[in-house]
Amino acid sequence: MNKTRIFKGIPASLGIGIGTLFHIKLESEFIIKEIIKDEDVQKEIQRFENALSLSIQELLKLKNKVEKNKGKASAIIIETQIFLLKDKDLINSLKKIIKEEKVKTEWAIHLTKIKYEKIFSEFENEYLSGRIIDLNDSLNRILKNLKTSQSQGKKIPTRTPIIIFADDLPPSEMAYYMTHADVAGIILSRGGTNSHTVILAKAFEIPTVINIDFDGTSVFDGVDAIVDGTEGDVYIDPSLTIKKEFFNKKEQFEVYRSELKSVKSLPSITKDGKQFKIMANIEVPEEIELALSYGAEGIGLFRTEFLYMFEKTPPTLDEQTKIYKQVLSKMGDKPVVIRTLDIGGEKKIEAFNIGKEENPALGLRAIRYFLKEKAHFYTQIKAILRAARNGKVKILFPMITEIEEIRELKDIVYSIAKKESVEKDNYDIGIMVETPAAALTIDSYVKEVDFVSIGTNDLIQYTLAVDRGNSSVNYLYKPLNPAVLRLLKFVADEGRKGGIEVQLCGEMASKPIHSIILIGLGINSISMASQTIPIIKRILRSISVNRTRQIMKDAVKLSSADEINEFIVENLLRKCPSSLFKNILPVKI
Amino acid sequence: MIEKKLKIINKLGLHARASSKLVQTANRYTSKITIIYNNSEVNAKSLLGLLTLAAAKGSEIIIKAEGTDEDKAIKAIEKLIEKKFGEKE
Repeated sequence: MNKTRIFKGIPASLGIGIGTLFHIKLESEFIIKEIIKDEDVQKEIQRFENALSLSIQELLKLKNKVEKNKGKASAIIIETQIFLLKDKDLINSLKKIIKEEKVKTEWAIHLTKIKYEKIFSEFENEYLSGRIIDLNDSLNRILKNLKTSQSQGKKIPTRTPIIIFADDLPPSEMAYYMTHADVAGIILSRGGTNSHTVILAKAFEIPTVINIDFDGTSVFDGVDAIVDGTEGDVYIDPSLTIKKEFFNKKEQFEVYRSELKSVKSLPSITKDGKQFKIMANIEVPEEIELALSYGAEGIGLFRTEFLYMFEKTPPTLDEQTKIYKQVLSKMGDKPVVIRTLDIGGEKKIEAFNIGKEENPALGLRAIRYFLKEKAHFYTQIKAILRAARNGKVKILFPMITEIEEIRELKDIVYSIAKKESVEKDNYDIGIMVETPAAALTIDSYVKEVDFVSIGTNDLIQYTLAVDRGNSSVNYLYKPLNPAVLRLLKFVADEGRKGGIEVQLCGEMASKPIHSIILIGLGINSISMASQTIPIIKRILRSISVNRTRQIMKDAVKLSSADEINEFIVENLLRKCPSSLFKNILPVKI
Repeated sequence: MIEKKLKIINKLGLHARASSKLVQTANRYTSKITIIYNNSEVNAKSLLGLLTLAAAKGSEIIIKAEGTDEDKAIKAIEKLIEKKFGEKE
């Protein structure tokens, strides 16, 4: 007789998932000192040796490839790394640490890195001190190979729907499972509702619950489980009655979802006749069908990071061109905004080696990185422009801080367009407004660009100086903080004055109450995860813009988020037909 | 055991490529070969060891070899260093 166990978490992607558990264990990104038992030392040495020989094999392959394409001289760097990994002194000292300190290989490597970083940093000769890079690179390769031999060694069930559970799941890892298994649901013990994994889960309509703490209870592969992504509950080993109940609930939810999708054929017009536009954020071209089925009126944000995440080397010009073409042709006459690679900050990509930074959110990210590493940037721009030759594309640049960046970016785009003979009619240039600096100087930017797109996630983070992923301070992360709303209003007003389109992407657009506020601030072109489009559309169709504008004009003058919230509830929601929110229950307001 | 003092004369000193060559050469002999520079003694068959010496152009290093082929080993290494590890400068 089994006993159902229920765990409470946070709903992250709507829907009901029923399947068997599949645990994905990833090596921690942060290396910790893990002590091993005496009897496991030999096993650990073996594990180290396996990863080591795998690393050497990889390097040999790489060396052959480089020699063939670029000649012997270029292969020297790789040869050096092979020599280092074959260095008996190094290998023996690593083994010695594992044996004597009884720690996992990862820790032994960590200690070795520290040791040599110190030695090399004392060299006066810059060239020689720079050789630490070769050592670290080689050691990182071993670390990487230690990882794969653990997490991907497991056989994935292909016939039955699985419920993945993991501490956290990097998007690239998740994409792998999406294509290799029937994923019915996802449970994460960590992660935020804004994380990239959750964004992907929403895009693929995979019910997801985060912040689940199994609290040491044994949870095994193959055990039945239910993920309720509408309530945020997880049921382990559910009884037959509960299972039945959830099969019903699942069906109901699917009916509800298809009802919502039927909103798509209705025009996007508010009650008082004002037009608005709701577009979809996508990560991969495969999401387009889904976006269209939800009634997306365009792609408001195509995040191109995913193209770069699967491979160890950046995608080639042709590969990229093909993907962008595919997106443009699938969308037909509807607008498509392609954002250039937004890496750095929280997003790490293996294909690019951005050094460790003290403060990555304020560091070398997005356009800052691209303007430094122009080769990659040129390739992406060239690919986008080529794809747009027979259509129209909107190019969006992330993380703008000053007008000089815009001018430099424009010069680059124009010169590539000229070489590729792509007319200006085929593309628009726009910038993301994510920094308070960009928001506050928007009046001068509007003369330089064709459109702007406000990225609320970052704009809020940078305006309030709050990391939304940090649970000790994220209580301060309030989208309704007057500082944020005033910036949004300013950008909307200046955009209108300058005669350019102001759109908005970011989590804020997909929250019912926030979407009303945004339209009240004058932002009527928004982009969000596909599955929330019908919900928001339904709400915006039922409001009056003129009234909302009036209310927001007064709301932004208030002094705190709480006051604004209260004011809006009092003046706006009270007078809204309650039926409006009744049928959108799965989304918390 | 024999010992010999030698001067590094190539432009970049004992850098990665030069050191790799030195390791390759040392590995051809069974003798125990060490290199002493700046109070540290490292195994000439270890690339990492050689790199940690950071011996730039003009450095005077001491090579020690001990074993049946110690003579040949020292000579081969001496030749390598004199020929600037096959580099132009």
